[in-house]
Amino acid sequence: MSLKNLSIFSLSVLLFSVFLVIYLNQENSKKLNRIEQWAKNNQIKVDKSTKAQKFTIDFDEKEWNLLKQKLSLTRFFTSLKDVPSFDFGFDPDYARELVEYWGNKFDWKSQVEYLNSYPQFRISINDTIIHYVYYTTNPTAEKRINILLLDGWPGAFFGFYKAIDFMEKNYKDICFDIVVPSIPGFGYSNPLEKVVDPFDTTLIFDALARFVFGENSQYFVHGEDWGSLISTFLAKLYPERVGGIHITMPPLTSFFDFNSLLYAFAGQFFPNSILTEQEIKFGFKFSLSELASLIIKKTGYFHIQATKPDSIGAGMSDSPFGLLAYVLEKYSFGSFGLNAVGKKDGGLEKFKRDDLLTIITYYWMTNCISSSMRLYRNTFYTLEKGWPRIVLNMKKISAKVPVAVQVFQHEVSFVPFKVLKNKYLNLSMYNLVENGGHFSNFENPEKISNNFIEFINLAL
Amino acid sequence: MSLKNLSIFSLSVLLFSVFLVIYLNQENSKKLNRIEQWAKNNQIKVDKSTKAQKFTIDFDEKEWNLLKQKLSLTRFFTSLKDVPSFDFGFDPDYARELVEYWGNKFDWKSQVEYLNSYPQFRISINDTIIHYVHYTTNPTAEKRINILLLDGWPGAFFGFYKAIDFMEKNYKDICFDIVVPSIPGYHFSTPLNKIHNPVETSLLFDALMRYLFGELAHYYIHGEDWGSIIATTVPQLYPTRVSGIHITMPITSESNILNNICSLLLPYVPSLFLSDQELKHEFSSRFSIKSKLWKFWDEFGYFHLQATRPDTVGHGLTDSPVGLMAYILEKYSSWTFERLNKISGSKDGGLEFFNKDDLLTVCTLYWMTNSITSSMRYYANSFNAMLEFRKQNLDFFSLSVSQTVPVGVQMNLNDIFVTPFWFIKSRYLGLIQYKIVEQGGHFAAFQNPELTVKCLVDFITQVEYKI
Repeated sequence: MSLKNLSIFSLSVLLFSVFLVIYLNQENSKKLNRIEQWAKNNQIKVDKSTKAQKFTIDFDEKEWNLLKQKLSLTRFFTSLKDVPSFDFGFDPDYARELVEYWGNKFDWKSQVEYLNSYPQFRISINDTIIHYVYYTTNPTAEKRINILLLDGWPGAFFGFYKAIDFMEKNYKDICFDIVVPSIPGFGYSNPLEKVVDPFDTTLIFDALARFVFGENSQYFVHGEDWGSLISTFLAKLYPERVGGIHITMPPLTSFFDFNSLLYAFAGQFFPNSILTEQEIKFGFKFSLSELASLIIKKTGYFHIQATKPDSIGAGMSDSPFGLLAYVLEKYSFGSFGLNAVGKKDGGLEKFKRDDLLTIITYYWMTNCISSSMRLYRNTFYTLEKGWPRIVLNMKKISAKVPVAVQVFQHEVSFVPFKVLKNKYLNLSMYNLVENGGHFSNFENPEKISNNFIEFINLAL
Repeated sequence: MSLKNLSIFSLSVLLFSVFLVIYLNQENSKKLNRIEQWAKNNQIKVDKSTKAQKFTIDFDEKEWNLLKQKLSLTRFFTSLKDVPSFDFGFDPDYARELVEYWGNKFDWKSQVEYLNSYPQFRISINDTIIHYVHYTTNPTAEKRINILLLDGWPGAFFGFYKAIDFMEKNYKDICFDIVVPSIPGYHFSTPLNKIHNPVETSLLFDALMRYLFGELAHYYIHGEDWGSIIATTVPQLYPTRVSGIHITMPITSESNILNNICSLLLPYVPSLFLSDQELKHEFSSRFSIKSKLWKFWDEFGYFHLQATRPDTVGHGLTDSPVGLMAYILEKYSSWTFERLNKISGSKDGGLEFFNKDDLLTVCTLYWMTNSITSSMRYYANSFNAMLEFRKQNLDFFSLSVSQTVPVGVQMNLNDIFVTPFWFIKSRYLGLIQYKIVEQGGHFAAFQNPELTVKCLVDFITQVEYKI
């Protein structure tokens, strides 16, 4: 091909790309408006007659004894001697230690008292039972802010208790109206016998917020894990109500588009070009091989939960030990990453044993491990319904809603600032935090509280 | 572009392709030679003093009562009302039914007697315990055939019992010297407390055959699941010892560039690659990349988890009988029957087709030997080994099997994946038999003992009487 022809060809490709981008952006704005319109039309009406029931967690002695009986019958297997601890998953020797403690020393009754230290309620919205904590800090303070605190899997609503306590004690001039709902299928948001995906959950949580805070009240959202995804959906669907979202794990799947892949491609050969200085200092990577490695090495559990949750649910609903090993492995890997490998305890002794076992016992007592894992399957199950399910093909979040991202060093997945900016058009805060992991409310309640409140003040 | 330029361009592409193929073939031969050299150096010496111990399975009453106690304490969860059963994995309602049967009606004692109906042994080779069945059919027949029967995960050695029985009754003129070993870490080839991968299994099983039949012995291999992979590896190591391999799960390597390009082209020019029979059975859509990726997503969650974090899921399966059962039996459902019509929405996922006692015997066997976790670790070990071997330029899992080794393939249509003849032939150069089994699933000998044996013996006959 002659040089002249080549130049014309390249120029036309360039022009075509430019037109394509402009066209797609216009399509995007149209779609954005379309979805906001859809959201307005499909917003869940909360009946005037709907009432929330006060809720207290029982100390069920019979169930607690059954749990202890099962623990006493636990059967173990041996660890591989030539494989580092926690390389193949939860270390069998350490598991045995925890089971011993759980069955003989752990005081579930006291923990139930602790879980009941904040007022809880249950309500039925759209035929779905939602359990939530509703607490008001410093009720006489002048400044009132409504907030939703959302966690994910395998988290628990009381993971936010320390944060709530911190907010109350350290921000006496603000009255926070706090709602901490549990995702349908999680904990006391049960029983759940129909498919409810994160998108449905978004509509339900917005309805709950309107029920508690008032029809047109503004609210801010803090979201971790699935909570980050739901926060993003809330901002997308109801920008007129959502004052801002503060997230710790930008949903990677929402960034699986051509744009991000281009960045990943660039990151493969010029890693520093797509990262900020701070991101480089923290050792974050974003490249095709990094994404591939993430998908292969870290998402086995995600894959099976997203396809056959009932097949693994059976064992974990029946074996407390199985439940413990499966869930606490996440607390190890999620908090410390590969640093957990080789450690006898996978790093878990950093946390209070009682705190960890309370989470496991909560999943056990509510018999919700299976229904909680189904959330993953539901997400893909409803995809075929198409519009407006927008899990995997999310375009941009309107500039109307400010977004803050606070990423902890050992977070499971990473999306660079430069890629985030493309989706979250109003990315007003971006912070990296050293030495923290995935379970932020659990591990760093003060850091997320401070960052969240700073963001809210910035947005207001 | 002018016609002249176009022709020159096409010709250079053609020449380049030809050179590439020749180069790749040479590389292939070089790599195969390297493997054969490695095999010679790593061949396991079976000590003269090594002795196999006769082995009988105990009916352990204490363990059986503990199992029943756990079953009686089983805690279940509820199914989703707006989703067809089995779409989210093993249906909890059917699990409840099976647990009821398992704890109250299943007769493990009789099953143990059944398991002991063929002579078994245990031997330690290379510090690794191997349990195996060794049985000779029609010992007075003139024609002697040594054969290894290999299964995989989540199979069990007794899955071959009906096949062995059929071989004995229907081929009275052949004396089959049959060996059915369990992969280290599976069932009674335990305890296994070190890393073990399929290449090592191949070395071990070859050593076992030499122990039983002599250093110059020749043998056939029938392999399903992991057994197919082992059956593919042994002739790469010792092509002169293996008389032929009969497999249900051929692995046509995805790292073969030519195969991948053809895979991409297949949906557009299916008749170029597929026979009429294959076309009739929709191989063009089932073998397309899109279809394979989708199937991989749907069915390989377990694989993904076991290949990365086997212990994490192992704990629950070691401690909970229903957990073990649901996890394993889901495979007997989804790998045997067609999903849309037979599984989705059905009460039992198709499992009523199988004998309930047989299925529960598989589960109880994994339970009693406490081997589910070590069986799953095989996946993680293999994955790591594959990467290690690749670094050493010993590409077991992607190189071809020499033309000198006859290969027979039994393609079961309801298995997870299907592979067309054309693609199998590109890796298994000695492919001489290829049979499509219409209602067949992944557990070939377990589900269809007679048909599987017929395919196998047809293959062996072809090999034997061609020489």
